[in-house]
Amino acid sequence: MADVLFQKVRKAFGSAVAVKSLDLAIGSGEFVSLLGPSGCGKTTTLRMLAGLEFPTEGEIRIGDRVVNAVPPGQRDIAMVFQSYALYPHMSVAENIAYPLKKRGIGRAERDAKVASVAATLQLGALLDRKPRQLSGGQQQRVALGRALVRDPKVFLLDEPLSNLDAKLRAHMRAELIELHRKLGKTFIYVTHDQLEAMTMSDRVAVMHEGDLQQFGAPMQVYEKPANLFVAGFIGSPAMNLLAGVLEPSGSGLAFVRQGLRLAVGDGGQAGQKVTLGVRPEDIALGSGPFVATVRIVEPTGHETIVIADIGGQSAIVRVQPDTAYAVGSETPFAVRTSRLHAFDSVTGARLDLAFALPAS
Amino acid sequence: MSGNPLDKRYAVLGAMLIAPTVLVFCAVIVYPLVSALYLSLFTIFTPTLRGSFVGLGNYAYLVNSPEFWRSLWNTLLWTICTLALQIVFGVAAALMLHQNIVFRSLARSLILFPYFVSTVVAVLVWRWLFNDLYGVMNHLMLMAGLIKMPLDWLGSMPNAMISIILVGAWKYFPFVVIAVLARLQTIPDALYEAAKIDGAGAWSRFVDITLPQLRDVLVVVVLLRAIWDFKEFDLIYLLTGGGPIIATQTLPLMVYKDAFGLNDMGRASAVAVSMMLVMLSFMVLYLKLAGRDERESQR
Ligand SMILES: Nc1ncnc2c1ncn2[C@@H]1O[C@H](COP(=O)(O)OP(=O)(O)OP(=O)(O)O)[C@@H](O)[C@H]1O
Ligand SMILES: [Mg+2]
Repeated sequence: MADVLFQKVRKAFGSAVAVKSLDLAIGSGEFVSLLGPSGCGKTTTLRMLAGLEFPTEGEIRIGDRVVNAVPPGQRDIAMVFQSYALYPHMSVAENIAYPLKKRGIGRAERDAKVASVAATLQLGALLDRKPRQLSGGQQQRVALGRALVRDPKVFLLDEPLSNLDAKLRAHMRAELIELHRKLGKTFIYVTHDQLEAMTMSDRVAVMHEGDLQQFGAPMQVYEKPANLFVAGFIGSPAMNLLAGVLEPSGSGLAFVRQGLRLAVGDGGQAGQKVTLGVRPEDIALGSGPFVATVRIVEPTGHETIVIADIGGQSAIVRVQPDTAYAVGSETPFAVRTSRLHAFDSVTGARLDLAFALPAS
Repeated sequence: MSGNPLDKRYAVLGAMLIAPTVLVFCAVIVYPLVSALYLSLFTIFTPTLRGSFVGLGNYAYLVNSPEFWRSLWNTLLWTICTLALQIVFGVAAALMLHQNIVFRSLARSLILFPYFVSTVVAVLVWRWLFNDLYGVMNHLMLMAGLIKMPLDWLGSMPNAMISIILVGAWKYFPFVVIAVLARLQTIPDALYEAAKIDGAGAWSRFVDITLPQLRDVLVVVVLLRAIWDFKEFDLIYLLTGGGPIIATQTLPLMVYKDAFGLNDMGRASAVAVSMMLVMLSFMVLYLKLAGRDERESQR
């Protein structure tokens, strides 16, 4: 059953359109990430769900209730802000208790709930402090505590980890996953960090310029990107996108570009402009029917990134660190044909083509 | 440490940099203060500035003078009432101007108007409005049926006191508006949004977020305005001249009257020194209270 439903939701600020026409159904208990580059409308989407922004068109449902006209306090949601938005003059305990207090819950019950949330988040020793006396990670936990204490249906998180250092971020990521597992509530998590989205989510909604590009499980988004944008956005280093064209070859078709020629099984039309997507780990240097020129070699320790020239275009290749490549040298290479992606160069849509190395 | 020649050079440089401030401070603050203290120990005939030493005689006179106590009471009454009105209306106006209303920038400059107008001009306008024979105020209130007879706004009590308090509030509330508005604009929106999600209504958001955030600026505003209102001279002098009789005479007016009306500079100085003592003790008390709350809220 869908817990959160966006139906044809559009949001415009004056003439600027932040969200174009969003259809999104999020299941009960799911951890969903809204992922996309800066300015793509993630925050706006979340704020509309929270009731802090109102959709220009369309309908938003939480549970079986249309919430378009429901004030934020009555939507059965809790939100963790990027800036945490802790009340500066209240102690940690008062911050966490505040949503209960505003719902008229008595002192004794409040204290008990604050204590239990503090235990979950290991905030017990900090309850009397003011927010400014806490580190970033501790503030983050207090903000989480203030959301947890109310036991809402849906948790909204807007880039909650972006103010933390790398190590703490990894730690909090694990804690959030654990928390979600324990609570079993719906989490909607905004981020522009694909690592966060991929590692934490049940499903990822990739957005671009106010449009939903793809909504699916992390591995699905990675292995079957729906279009050129998703293909280029997901994965680090990014997928190599090589433009070419389909030409008749023998009885079938071939994908042809400078320095590359692949036989194409069924699908596609002769003359169609096609972009080939190859992940850095799916290029094998050392042997094969094609030739690349090594331009840059970047050892990172556990792997080495080679930037090579394939028919006039740079491509990123991920290789084992034990082989040495001389800059400027030519090296033969092959591609893993079962793991190639193809997109229509004009529309950007994914094409289901089967590739094969040329028989030689 | 002190043996280091560089430290010595810095010490000399420091002293040189402070010196001008210290000199100016001595010339404009310490000297008048000391000389007021000194003068208050004499009876001095103002036109000739000659007189004889009387020790604490002037102070003894003041302690037994009903006029002094009445003026002190008037000063406190005026300061507290006009300050309270300034704060209430100032904060209210700032909150209103902080909203996205149409003509906001126009409204903002209009509201500062009373603060910019020179006191003399403002008072002349108000005297005209308050006039018991041809004043607009009486005219309107008669027409509205609020009063049956024209009121004597400035020449009878308690009207005169109420009038100066109201005009004082009108003239100085824009100061509160400016200070509070500046602070309001720095309160992060996210705090209000978080409170909305936590279920706080408009009133709760004001009490739980706006007021605590305004605390520091209000402490300073109350301090400054209290000092300035306590010393206010021209507005009251021009509106009522301290009258009827001495019903609205505050301490600054009494200083003026003693020095230039009764030509006794010594006693005037004694009043001025007492005024300073009263103000000082109130300020110390106030800052202690404000400081204690501050420490409590930081714990
Ligand atoms: N209050 C507003 N008024 C006008 N335009 C706005 C407003 N809020 C957002 N926008 C515009 O809407 C678009 C989407 O903004 P949004 O904040 O949702 O992006 P985002 O995906 O959260 O980006 P980021 O990763 O930088 O936070 C942007 O182009 C932004 O300029
Ligand atoms: Mg954002």
